[in-house]
Amino acid sequence: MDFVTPSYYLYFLPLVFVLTIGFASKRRRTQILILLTCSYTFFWLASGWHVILLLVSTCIDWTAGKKMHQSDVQKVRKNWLKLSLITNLTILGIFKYLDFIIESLNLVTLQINGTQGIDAFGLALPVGISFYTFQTMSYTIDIYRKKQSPYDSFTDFACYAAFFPQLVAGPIVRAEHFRKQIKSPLKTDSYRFRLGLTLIIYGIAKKLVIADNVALHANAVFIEGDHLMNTGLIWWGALCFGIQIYCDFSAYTDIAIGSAHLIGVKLPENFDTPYAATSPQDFWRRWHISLSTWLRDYLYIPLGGSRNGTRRMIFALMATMLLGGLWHGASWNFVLWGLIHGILLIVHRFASKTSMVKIFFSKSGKIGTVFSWITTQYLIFFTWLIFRVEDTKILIPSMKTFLGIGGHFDWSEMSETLPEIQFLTFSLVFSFILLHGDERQDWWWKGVAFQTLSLLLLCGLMLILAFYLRPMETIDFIYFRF
Amino acid sequence: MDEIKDFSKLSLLSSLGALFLSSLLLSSVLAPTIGEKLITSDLTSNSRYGVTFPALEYIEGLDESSVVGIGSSIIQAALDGSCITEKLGDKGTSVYNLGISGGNPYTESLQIPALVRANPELVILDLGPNGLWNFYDSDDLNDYIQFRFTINSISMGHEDIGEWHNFIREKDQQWLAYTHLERVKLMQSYSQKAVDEYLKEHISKQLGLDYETRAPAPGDDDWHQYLMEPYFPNPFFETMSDESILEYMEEKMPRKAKQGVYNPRPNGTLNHQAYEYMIDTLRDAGIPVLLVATPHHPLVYPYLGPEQLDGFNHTFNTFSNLSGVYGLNMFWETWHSSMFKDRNHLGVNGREYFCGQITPYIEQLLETGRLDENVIQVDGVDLSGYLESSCNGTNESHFIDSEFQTIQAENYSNCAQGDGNIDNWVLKDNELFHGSGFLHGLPEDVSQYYGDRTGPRLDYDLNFSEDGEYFVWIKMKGNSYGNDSIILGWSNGLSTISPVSSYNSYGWTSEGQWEWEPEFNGPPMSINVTIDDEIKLSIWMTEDGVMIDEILITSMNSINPNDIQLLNSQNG
Repeated sequence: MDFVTPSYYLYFLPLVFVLTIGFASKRRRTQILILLTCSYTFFWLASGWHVILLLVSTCIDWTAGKKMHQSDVQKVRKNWLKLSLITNLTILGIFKYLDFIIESLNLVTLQINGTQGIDAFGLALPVGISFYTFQTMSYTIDIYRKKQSPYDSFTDFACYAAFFPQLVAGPIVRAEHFRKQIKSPLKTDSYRFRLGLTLIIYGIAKKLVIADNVALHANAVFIEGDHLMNTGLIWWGALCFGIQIYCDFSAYTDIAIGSAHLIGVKLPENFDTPYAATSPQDFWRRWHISLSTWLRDYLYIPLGGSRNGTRRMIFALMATMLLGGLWHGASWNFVLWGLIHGILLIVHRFASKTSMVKIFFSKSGKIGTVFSWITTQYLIFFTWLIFRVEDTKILIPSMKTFLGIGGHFDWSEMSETLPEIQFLTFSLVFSFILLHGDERQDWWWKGVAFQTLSLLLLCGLMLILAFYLRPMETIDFIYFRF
Repeated sequence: MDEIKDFSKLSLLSSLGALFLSSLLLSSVLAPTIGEKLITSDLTSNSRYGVTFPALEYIEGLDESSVVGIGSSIIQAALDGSCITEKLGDKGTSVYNLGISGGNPYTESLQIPALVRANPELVILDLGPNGLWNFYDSDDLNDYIQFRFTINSISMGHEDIGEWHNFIREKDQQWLAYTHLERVKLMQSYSQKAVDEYLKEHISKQLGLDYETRAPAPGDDDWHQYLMEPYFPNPFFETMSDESILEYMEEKMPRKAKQGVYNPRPNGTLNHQAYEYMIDTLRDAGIPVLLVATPHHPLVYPYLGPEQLDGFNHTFNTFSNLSGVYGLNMFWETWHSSMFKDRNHLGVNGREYFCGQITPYIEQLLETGRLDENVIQVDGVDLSGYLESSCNGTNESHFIDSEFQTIQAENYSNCAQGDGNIDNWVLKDNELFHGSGFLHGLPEDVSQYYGDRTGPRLDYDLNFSEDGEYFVWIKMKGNSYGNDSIILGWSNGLSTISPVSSYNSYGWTSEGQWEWEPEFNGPPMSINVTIDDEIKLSIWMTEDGVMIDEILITSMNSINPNDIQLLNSQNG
């Protein structure tokens, strides 16, 4: 089950709503038990026996949290933290990175002595493992740091770890935030209900209409790998993939936030119009906010951050971005993606401090902003190319062509390579570019609050578009793989 | 449930209700766009698939009376509504052609309730052997049914659900929309492409670019004309030589003849049930039905066994004998090859002839409400005036100024096609020959004209330098007793053709061989010539398959060209 499965909307979500807000109204413990049961059911339907891994991780982190809180002995606290971290990272490592490590070693041994060492295990990746692992790790780390106390109840904590709207693909919620949400009996109101419903519909439309349609174009460019010297085609493919990944991921987040609103839980925002960013740093403030803040708090700052000299900052930034890249997937292209982002952040940090740049931006006004927006987005979409293409035979020529090295423009070749549905996709891309900046504007949410007729029509239109304009085959959420 | 009450059930219901209504409203706005694009753009392989229901709705809304033809591509290719409408004159009746490629009674039965509402004066229903097969399990067939039912369901309304649903197979029910929601779901199959086409059209127009539609949309100026005269199938046989057609049929027909379309069942199939439903419903509505079977290409029939089409004969006669139902069975007529687009579809000539044939019966049915006979099966076929002239001679005379002179067979002065037959003299070069080739009587489908001078004719105008008696030898070839004969005759411009001689070629091998004839059976035909005479030598094909290469005119009575090894034929 996932957020584009009709049974989620027809049975699962209404049932959760009726049981928590209706049946168990004002009975907090019952509500949490219901949510916990539903969340485990959701996870079991999505990922089968991997639910046991979630349970193991939850039990160990719960115990570690309690034990750390109860003890004043630093060594004891540290050991419990180690146990928590080692358990979580071992599970993550085995299921997500073991095959990647084996294959990389095989590649090395193949180069050295012509033989391949051991076969990869071919383990299926548990759904959402990167998300819930980071979530529970932050819980034990914060208790170790004495920044928060442990949950009083195991069911509350288990519900935090397994809360179905954000379990599979985030946002990565901090324990303290969730605790506040479930402190009192869960309840909703007209505003939150409509807001939740609107976000769900908006997310569905964004995923099925925009993400899945542009995905067909991105796939046509990068899966077949024909005409990699066509600059227009590579640019278009990268643009389509950039829009796909944003609309796919942010749609999931919208549905997650919307679903949570229906049952009285507010989840944090995860995106803030990232393609309006005018610098790499700005981009990371807007893209996958819950991950970037997690990386900042639990990796970048502990590694030295920006207050321990330039070298330390460069090390911390590069390490954070490399690990952030690797978090996305066990593949070298994600490492490269992280590396390039690290370089971009460092270059930007230094360049923005130079007097020439400062003078330019102080005098250029809006032109300077537009220039930095174009430059930033050109580089961001370049990194999406790296993110999308795992096959180096396709990736390297694509990168060269994207950067204008040896490419050419051929519109007829482009038209022949792209899928049959073209005008619709062009219109969607154009509309996205036009409207992206306004996506989180106040008028939208105020409209929900006042339940205007125009908003209902807009929601109706989104539903109809989602129904009629979706491709025949639905494409899985990209971040399910992470 | 207190909490839900707190935030107002009314509010919840009003939100959901308004959302549902707005979705429904927007959905109904989008539906016509999808329906239109099914016709005007290339969402499907053929614009006809989306035409049926918009067409019937349009006909229903007209004040004038109508005749509607429905059925497969056979009726689509045959029925020129404009031609018939014109021939009907001032009766204020338009004839519409709603035949559809691949259509079979089972798939076409869906339109009957809409057809009844359109209330035509007459329905022309295609009933040939190709629509009487038994259903079988095939992915292709299932895909076609899915496709047709889905397309139709998009345009259908609740009022179009008729008794047909009683015989629709269980597995096909899923492609039919019985409710609005089911219809919306089926529309999804084409909505993405339809919207893409819609955007393509409007963006192209905005940019001043060409946007071509495949067919007019409902309501367009030429919609009415399109329904009477659809875009007929592209020429196929018309672009091929007789030899290519023959080769094509030889390749296709042995297998085709074994298939269901040429092995019709007499009763009991789903198609029969569909015919029964269609005919009964139209009869109950007081709408007369004219069953029509058009002929197939003449090269089809030799492949069919003696009783192979009894199921068709039985079905046609059974339905035609019902009150209010009439039959025009042309299937057993032999129409010329040039009247066909392919194996079973009429081409331009055939359509024109069909128009002339069917119009009097439509006229009679419109005037009197009945035909004199229930089943009309025309025996004598007058195709004159409908055949393309495919033979042209040189219009030049041959001057005979020696005792021993040959004329190349292909250098004929004039020619004529046979009466109502399909054979022709075709210039070939795939055997030994003299001159630029030899003439072959094709197609070789064992057509025989025996002693009649009804086969294709070649005329050679001759002028002689001396009076006297001349003898005519023909170098010819045939590889069996069924394809080795011709008839010769001559005239001097005054007298009628006389005398007539029959020549046969004797084959010593299974392939036959070139021989000067008549080698054994009698003397050669003689011509008595005076110097002023303009002699016309005529050669008729009496068996197709025969080949002729040269004509020898000699005044030497005693000579047999075979004895002097006169010129074994050679290439070039």
